[in-house]
Amino acid sequence: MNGQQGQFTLQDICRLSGLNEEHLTEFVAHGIIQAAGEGPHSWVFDTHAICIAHRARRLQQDLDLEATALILILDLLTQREQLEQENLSLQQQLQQFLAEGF
Amino acid sequence: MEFKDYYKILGLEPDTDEKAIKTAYRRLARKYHPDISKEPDAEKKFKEMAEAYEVLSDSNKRAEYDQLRRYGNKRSFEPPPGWQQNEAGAQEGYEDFSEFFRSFFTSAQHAQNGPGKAGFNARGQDIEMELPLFLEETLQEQTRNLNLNTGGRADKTLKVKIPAGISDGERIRLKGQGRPGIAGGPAGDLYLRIRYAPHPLFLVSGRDLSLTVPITPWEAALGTTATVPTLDGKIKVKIAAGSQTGQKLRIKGKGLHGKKANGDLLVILKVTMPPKPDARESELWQALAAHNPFNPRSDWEKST
Repeated sequence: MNGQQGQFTLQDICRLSGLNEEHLTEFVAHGIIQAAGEGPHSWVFDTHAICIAHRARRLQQDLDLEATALILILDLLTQREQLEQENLSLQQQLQQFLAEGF
Repeated sequence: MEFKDYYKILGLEPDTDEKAIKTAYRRLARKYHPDISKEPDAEKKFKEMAEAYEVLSDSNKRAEYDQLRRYGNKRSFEPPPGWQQNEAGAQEGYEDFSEFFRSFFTSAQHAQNGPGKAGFNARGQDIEMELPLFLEETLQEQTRNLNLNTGGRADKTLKVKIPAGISDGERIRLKGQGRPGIAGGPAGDLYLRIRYAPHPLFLVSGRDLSLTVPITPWEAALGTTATVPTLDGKIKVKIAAGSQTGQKLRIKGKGLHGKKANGDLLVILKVTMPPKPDARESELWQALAAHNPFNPRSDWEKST
């Protein structure tokens, strides 16, 4: 029942996340959410996109954000996650390298 | 039932005006919103705040609450007879809120205007969970039995297939396995987020793995063939004469398995000195020192 790692349409993603099409289209235009295919009618999204959409809706509702601020926050959150990941990986590598008697 | 001091939760005095309530909520939301915050307990705190704000930002609810606050017994709150606990309340989008909250604000007109709970449909909430996975487990499809309590009456066990080659952070969606639907609506979905468990030897970078391989000074000088581990068995790696600490060798296809192609294994060399030399070894090092004028700090000498 799982495994088909998500092929979702714009309508699916709106229904699942509770965001409207206008917002979603804007997120895709800003690269916050990745879509395959050309133009909203043939867009295909994966499971990751749904989770970003969820996060967007939670932030929008809970913090009462306007679109530009929301896009900025989502962008920065993604960047922060990437940096944390990178930092962790470099720390581990350094640790291995400095470890005594290795 | 525990009495909730909504003013205290938002750090406010009871006579605060609406604008200050909004400001306090926003300030705390910025700090504790679970999507942003790194604070421990952020989610729990945020739910409390959202509940407090839900009541205090609505003048009707606030008036009701203020009245209760003034006359009620705050230590152990017993709802008066008129405020019958309403089981249906749990199904109107407030399932995250406390029992205290639900015991009054459960009528249909209240449910219309909850923040963060816009009643656009009656789907159950989605749930996101982390699923730790060892690197070795990404090589073949895995089957896991997950024990879940998603707000139904009893725990349930789900059989989940984790496809081979799944990435760190990737999500598996289990349709209809989230919280139950509201008033006959469809159930929410369950998202399992894959988290690679740290490996004692291999570090992950995308589909590539890296491995620090210690070698002796003479192996570095003369070259050798070293046997190194991979995720599935050992391989032999040729190390060239005159190798150096930090040098990287890329072994194609020996990284994590991917859906399209396998990643590579990056072997990073680390020249490691043997323990303190004995008399014979010291002689050998001295002979080498006498023969080779190599000075790794020669750059410093030039500049001083």
